[in-house]
Amino acid sequence: MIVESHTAVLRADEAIQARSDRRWFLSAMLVATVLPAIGLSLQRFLDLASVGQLNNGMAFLATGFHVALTSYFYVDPTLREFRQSHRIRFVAAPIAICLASGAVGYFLSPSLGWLILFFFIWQLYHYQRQNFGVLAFAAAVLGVRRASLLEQSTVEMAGYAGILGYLATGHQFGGTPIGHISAVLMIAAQGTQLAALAIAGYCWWRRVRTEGLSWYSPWHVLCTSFFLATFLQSDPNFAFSTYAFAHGLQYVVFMFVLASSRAQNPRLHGPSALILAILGVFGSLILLLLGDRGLFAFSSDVAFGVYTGLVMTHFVIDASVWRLSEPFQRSYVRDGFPMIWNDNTPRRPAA
Amino acid sequence: MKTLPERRRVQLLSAGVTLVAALVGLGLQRSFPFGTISLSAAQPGIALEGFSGLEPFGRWTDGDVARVRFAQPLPRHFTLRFRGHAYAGNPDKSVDIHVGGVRRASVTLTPFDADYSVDLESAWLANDVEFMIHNAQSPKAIGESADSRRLGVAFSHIEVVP
Repeated sequence: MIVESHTAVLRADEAIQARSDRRWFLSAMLVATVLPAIGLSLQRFLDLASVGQLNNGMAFLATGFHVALTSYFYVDPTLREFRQSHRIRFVAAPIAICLASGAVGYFLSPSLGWLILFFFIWQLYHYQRQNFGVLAFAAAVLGVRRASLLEQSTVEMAGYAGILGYLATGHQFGGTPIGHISAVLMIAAQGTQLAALAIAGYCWWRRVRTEGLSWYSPWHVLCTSFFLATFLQSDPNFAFSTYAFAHGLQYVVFMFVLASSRAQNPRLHGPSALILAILGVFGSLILLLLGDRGLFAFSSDVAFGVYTGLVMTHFVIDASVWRLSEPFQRSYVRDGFPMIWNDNTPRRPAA
Repeated sequence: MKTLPERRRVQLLSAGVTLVAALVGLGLQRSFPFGTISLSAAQPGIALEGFSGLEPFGRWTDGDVARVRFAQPLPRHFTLRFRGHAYAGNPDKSVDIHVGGVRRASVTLTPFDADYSVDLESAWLANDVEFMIHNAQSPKAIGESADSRRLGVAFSHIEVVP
């Protein structure tokens, strides 16, 4: 009897802790998603220089540092067999991508605009793929039905709108015909973004009717508005920074929660969050050196090609490890977020 | 019949909406007013690139390319009218006119103001007109003055007539 009540108290404590962790996680994700737009807007539109340090810090975390965190998947012993069975993705593809993009820089330097164009399309699509993950986590934390086909479509559409809008406003695709058709790209982007928001509004209304009020629909609208800065002002660099920083910070939150949880679980032997941070700092320094075209004046296009290759490697590895539709990856991620996925405490009933 | 995976259905639906949005957007913007391009003040829907600062007559081009970019695709056929003169210091006073990145005409200017009218065909969905200056020179380079701008054409009027 005493043992049973003690166990019940322990379970209640764990449930309270898990609920607190879930709230902390979702709050951190919200801050990561909206803080860049707020910080950058304060600096740009209100000329608040004091937020410059904050923006610089976000820039560091969200650029090379977040890309370098992917190297965690190369050192986590739990993934050894997975890496071996996916050698093409983990070894051959990264080498091939870096060699190919470096070769474009060396042999086809005038065509670098095409590489940059391909890179940016993939990069922005990669950003939006992560938002599908954010929504899946939000649904799990809030205990509501996962995104419907229509809800997923608005997030996908927002991704297309973001890509088209960036291509229309970015001026770094020399040698490609993109600049000459920017008007039609922008018209398509604006129309798609508007349609996505209108459908997201309809999805919200449907959720309220079937499930009542919850915080899920605001999250869905937020993910559908991820690239909105492109359409609200005219500076493509400002717009890009808002969503690039948001993506990077979201990833930092994901990775540090994953690493901390795996390190705390004695069954998993995951590398600690400190090791993750060291990997991030070391990797970001390498990327910073490669990306600095002034340092490699003798072969800046090659170095830049390799830099883009390393970033694309991050896309390739992430697309594999975070593929929650696959049983192994689902189990791996669930182990990394036990307060969300392995917690059976009652939450809102799913519809 | 085998149904498509959910992700493919999402992609197809999204691509379809994107296409419809583009077509509706283009349909709504067909009445965009082409006409005289202001060289003095910012004009909504029109961006000037490769032009120097405003002067009493209009603007000089600065560099190898001067571009007028519109916020909607140009008509398939239109007439480009402009008034201007070439920089006297340039040995080659011809200018290639590109529409949508494709060379459509070549005009040889004089060092004195004159009116020009060129019938042009646009590439599909193109939204820019470029003046490609041959051998743009700066007055500084030829010892004429301290002006380091690479001058090409002094425009006082540009007009797109559909």
